[in-house]
Amino acid sequence: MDLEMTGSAETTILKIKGNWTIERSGELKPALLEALGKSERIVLDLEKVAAVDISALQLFCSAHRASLRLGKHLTFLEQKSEPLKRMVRDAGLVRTIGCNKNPNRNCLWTGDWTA
Amino acid sequence: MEFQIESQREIYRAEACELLSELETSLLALEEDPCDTEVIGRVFRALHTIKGSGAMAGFDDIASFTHDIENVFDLLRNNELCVTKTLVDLTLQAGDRIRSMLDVAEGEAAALAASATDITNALKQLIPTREEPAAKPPQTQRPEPEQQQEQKTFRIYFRPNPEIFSRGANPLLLFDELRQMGKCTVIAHTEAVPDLEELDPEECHFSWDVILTTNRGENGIRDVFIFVEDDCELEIKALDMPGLDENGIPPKRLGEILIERGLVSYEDLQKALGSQTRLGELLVARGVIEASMIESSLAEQEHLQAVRSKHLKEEQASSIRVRAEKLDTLVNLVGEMVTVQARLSQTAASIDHPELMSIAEEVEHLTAELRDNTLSIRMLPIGTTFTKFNRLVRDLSGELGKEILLTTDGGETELDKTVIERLNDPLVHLIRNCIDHGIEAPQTREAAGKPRQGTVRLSAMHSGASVLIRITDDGAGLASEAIRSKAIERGLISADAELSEKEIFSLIFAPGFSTAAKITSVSGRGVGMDVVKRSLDALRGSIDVSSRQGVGTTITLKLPLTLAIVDGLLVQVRDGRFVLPLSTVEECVELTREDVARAHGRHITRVRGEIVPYIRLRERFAINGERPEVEQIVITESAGGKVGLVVDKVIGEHQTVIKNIGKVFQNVDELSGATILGDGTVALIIDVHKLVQSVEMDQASIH
Repeated sequence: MDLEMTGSAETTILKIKGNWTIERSGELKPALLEALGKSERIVLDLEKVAAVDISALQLFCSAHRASLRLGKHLTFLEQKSEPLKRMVRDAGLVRTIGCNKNPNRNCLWTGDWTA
Repeated sequence: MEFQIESQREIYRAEACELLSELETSLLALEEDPCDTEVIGRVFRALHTIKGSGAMAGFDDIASFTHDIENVFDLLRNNELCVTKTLVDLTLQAGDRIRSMLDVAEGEAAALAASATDITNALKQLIPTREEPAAKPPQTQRPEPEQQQEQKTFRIYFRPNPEIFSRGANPLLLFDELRQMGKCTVIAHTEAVPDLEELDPEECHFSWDVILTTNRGENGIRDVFIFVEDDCELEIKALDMPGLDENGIPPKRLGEILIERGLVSYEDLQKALGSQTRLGELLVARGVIEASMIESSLAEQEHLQAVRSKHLKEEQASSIRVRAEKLDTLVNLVGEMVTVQARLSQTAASIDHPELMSIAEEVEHLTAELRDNTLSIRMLPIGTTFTKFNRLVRDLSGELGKEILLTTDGGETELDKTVIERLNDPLVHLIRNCIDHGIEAPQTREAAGKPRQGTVRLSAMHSGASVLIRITDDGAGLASEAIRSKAIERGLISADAELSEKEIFSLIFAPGFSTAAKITSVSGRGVGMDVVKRSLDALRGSIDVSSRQGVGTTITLKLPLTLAIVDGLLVQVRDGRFVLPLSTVEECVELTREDVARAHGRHITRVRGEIVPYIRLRERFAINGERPEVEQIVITESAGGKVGLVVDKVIGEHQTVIKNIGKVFQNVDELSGATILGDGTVALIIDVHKLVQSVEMDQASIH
C-alpha cells in the first residue's frame, strides 16, 4: 500500500509513498482526516513520494489548517523526496515567514526546500 | 575629409577589436552550452555590429564577409541550425580573419577577403540545403520587435477557476512557460484553501502572484494564459522602474509596495514600524496580512532592485573613448604638478608664512586627489586579458591532445593599462609553459590517479600597493633534480653547490634554460622564462615559483599598481637623497655605535630578538664622510626576507613621480629611476630587491 499509518497515542505517522496526483486525491483526503482524528501530533512522512501535483499540496495545506483549528500539531518529516521539493518550489509555496493563522507561526511551507 | 575618414577607420578598428574579443568569449561560452539562446544572440549582435559599422567606416570587404557568417547565426537564432564544434571552430577562424583584415591596408584586405571564401564555403555546407543563404537578397537584419523591448517587471495575479483541474489544465505548466521568459518568482496564496472537511480535493483554491522580469511585454505574457483566459481571474500590471526616472528615486521599500497594493493601511504600517523587528514578520504577527502577500511583495522588491542595478550598470558602462596618448600626457602633467606642489610646501614651510602654509596644504590635498583620480582613469580590470587566454588554452590543448580547463578568478582586479598591456606576453609564455610542460597527457594523468582534465588557474588579487597574479596548474610540477643537473651541465652552478629548492627553481629564469627533452612548437626552446623575467623586471615586478613534483606548480607575479607615481620614503646619506618604495618598507629603527660594536664587525642587528642583516648605503654607494652618531636602519621586506638599509637620516614620506634615468645609468640595476624633489634636486629611487640581490652576489663571489 502507498499509505501506511503507524504510531502511538501521542504521535501518528502517515507514510505516503508513490504517485499522488489529482486522480488519487479522493483517496488522500480520508487518510489525512483519519490521521488528524487519531492523535495530538501528526507527522507526514513524504520521503518516498514520487510524484505529487497541486491537488496533493492543497490537501496538505488544508490538513494543516484543520490541525490548527483542532489545536493539533501537523508537520512534515524532515526528509522529503526531491520531486516533492521541486513541486513545492515550482508552485511557489515556499515561505520564509509563517502563517498568521497559527499562533506559533509555524507553517508547513517554511524550512528548507532547496534541492 | 580624408583625415575624417581615416579617423573613422581608426575608431572602427578599436571598436571592432573589442567586438571580436567579445565574439570570441561568446563563442567559447557557446561551445560549453550550445543551447544558450542569449549567447547566440550576443554572437549575432557582435557580428551584426561589426558588419554595420564596417560598412560605414569603409571596410566593405569585412562587411560582406561578416554578412555571410551573420546569416548562419541568424539560422541558429531561429532554431533552424544547431551549434556544433565545427561551427564554433569556423566562426573563431572567421574572427581571426576579420582581425587580420583590420590590420592590413585597404587593397590587401580585398585579397584576404577573397581567400576567406574557404571559411564561408565551409560554413555554408553546415546549412541544410533546402535554402541557400547566399541566394537570399542581402537585406539588413531587423531583430524582432520582441527582442528590442526593454526589460520590465510585471506583477501577475492569477486566480484559476476552482474547476481548472477537471478541465485538464495545470497551472504549473503555465509557470514553466513564464520562467522561460525571464527571471520569474512564483508565490502561491493559500488563504482561500478551505478546512480539510470542506475541501473538494478536485478543486483548486490556490491563487498566485507571479513577479516576472522580461522583455516580452504584456501581450507576450497574456499569450501564455491564452487557453485558460476564460477560466481564471488574471491581472497583469507593469511595475514602475524605480531608479530609472531622472530624479534617481531609490527602489521601493517593502512598506511602500504593501501600501501601493492596498494590502496594509498607512496606520498599520506606522504602528508596526514603532517596534524594531523586520516589517514583514511584524505585519504577519499582527495578523494584518497574509505571509504569502509579504513573500510576493518581497519578490517584487527583489526583481525591481535587480532590474535597477542592471540599468545602473548599463549606465555606468556608458563611456567615451579617449586616445591613450592623451591620458599619458595627463599623467605626466599631474606628475609635474606633484613636484611643484612639493616645492610649494617646502617653500611655505621655510619662510614660515602661516597663510601660505594653509594654502600649500590645501593644494597638497587636491593634488593627492587629482593624482589618485588620474591614475584610476588608467586602471583597467585584468579580466579582459584573462578572457583572451581561454582561446589560447583551447587551441593549444587541442593541438597537444590534452584536456585542460582554464579557470579565472579576480578578473575585476584593476591594474594600470600599461602594466596590463605589457603583461600579456609574459602571461602567454607562462600559460604555454603550463600547458606544454606542466599538465600531463590525459593517459598519464589517469595513471597517476588524477582527473583526465588538467586545470590551469589564473587569479589576480590586491596585496598592498601591488597586485599578485598567480598561474597555478595541477600538472607534473618542476623536476628539481633535472633542473639542477641541467644547471650544472650548463655551468650555471658548481656540482657541489648546495641550493634550496627555491634557488633551484629560480634557475629556470636563466637565459636559454630548458630541461625539455624535445622541442615542441609550443615551448621548450628555452626562450621564454628569461624573457618573462626581464619583462617583469621592466615593470618593477617580481616572480616567484613554487612547485611540488606530481602535484603542480604555482607561479606568482607581483606587480606594482601603477608605473607612474608611487609613495616612497625619502632618506638621506650625507647630501645625497634616495627614495625607497614605501611598499617595501616595514619599519625604521636606530643603529647606535654600541649596536655596531656589539656585532663585532658583522653587518647584522637585532630587531625585537630577530637577527636582521643590513646594507650600508654609504658603503655600497661609496659616499665619503663621517657617519653620524646614530644612524637609521630602514627595514625592508623583499623576497629573501628582511634586510635593513642603513642611512643617515629618514626624511619622511614622499609622493614620488618616477622619471627614467638616462642611458648612462642603464646598467645600474640597483636604481629603478629618479625623482625631482621640491627644491629641484634629484633623488635616486632604489630598487631594494635588486640592491639586496647584487650585494648577495658580491658576497658569494668573495666567499
